[in-house]
Amino acid sequence: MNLLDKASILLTPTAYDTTELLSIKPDDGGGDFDFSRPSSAERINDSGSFETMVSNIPRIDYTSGTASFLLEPRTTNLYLNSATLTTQDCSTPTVQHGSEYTVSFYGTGSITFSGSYTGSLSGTGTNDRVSLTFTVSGSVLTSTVSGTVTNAQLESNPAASTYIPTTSSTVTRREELCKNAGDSSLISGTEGVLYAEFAVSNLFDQNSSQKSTRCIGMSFNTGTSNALFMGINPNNKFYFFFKANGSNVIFNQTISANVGQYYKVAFKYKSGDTSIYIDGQEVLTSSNSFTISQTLGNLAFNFGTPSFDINIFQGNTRCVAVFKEALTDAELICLTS
Amino acid sequence: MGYGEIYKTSWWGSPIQYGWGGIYYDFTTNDSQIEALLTALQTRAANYENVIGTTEILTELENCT
Repeated sequence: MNLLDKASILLTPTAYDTTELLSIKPDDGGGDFDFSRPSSAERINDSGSFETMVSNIPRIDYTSGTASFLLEPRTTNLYLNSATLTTQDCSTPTVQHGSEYTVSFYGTGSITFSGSYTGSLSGTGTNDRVSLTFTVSGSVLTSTVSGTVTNAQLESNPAASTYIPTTSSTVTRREELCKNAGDSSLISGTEGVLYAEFAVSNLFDQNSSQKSTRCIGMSFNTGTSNALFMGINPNNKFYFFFKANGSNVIFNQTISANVGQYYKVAFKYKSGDTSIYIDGQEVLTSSNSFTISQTLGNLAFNFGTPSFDINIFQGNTRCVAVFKEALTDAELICLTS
Repeated sequence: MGYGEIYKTSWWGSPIQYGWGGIYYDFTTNDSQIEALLTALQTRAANYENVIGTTEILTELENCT
């Protein structure tokens, strides 16, 4: 059997409905994810154009030229009349994650900043997006526009998120959640593999009091005493967590990662033979014996369960797969290469 | 490189229906399940796209044996 045969759940950036992200395996919908975003949002579609996706429709985004499933946190565009920006003042309070703000825009014009930040940002082309992240000190930022500045955005984030159009008032794109796929018939409680190809963004859940880890994982439905997660923490270290019957089998945050870089990661769990592969290399192993005492029945883009959402994944995903058996080293190398 | 080694180390001989070498796809003989999976997904999806990219991902998995 090949790995396409062996995958019990397989998600690719291909199909979606309102409130659903569809997995290609199984074909009966048992591996589909629940999706929510209580507002519209923009994406770059396969023609390279902005497209507005209405509430609760997942976004397959083509900004990089290839398709990926995009998840972003709640964000507000503080600029008014953002399509063609004019000089304006904006309030820039300190927010719970700090005082980092990011300005982004398209066009050949420039913005000169004064007030809570002093500096400037120049455009490079009609279809090119430029951005600048800075720390504010003060409550009001004055943005003086020169030339053509289009699709502009000022947001309290350490990086630019996707564009949010505004007119006479600020607009908030709400948080995106994607979770609750699979059940114990698709996720083994004894051995298996969780695989994903993903790139995290430098954006963080705004509902959390601190910048949080961006996770993909699977757990028992109401807790994390039996749970397996992988992701990248706020310090840009890979985060690997596997707990069985309340005891850690692997908990590691030592391997460096880069924001925006795609990684192929496989997390194999088997009593006495647990290992993790990144991009074709085995990077962690554990010979600890374990017994999972509750079923792993919930695959999600967070570190949580259907009832609470923490460490929500933020970024782009090309593939997620679950296997109900511990793959061989050769298979894991092939999968992650 | 020995005779036939190219088939083990590249996509030569493994055309993808909607991607690399697609013009030769109909000349291959295989028992791939990719087309059936795509058809089943399209049937139950209100929104369906990225067929080429998806086929590439599925082909990579199918080539891992």
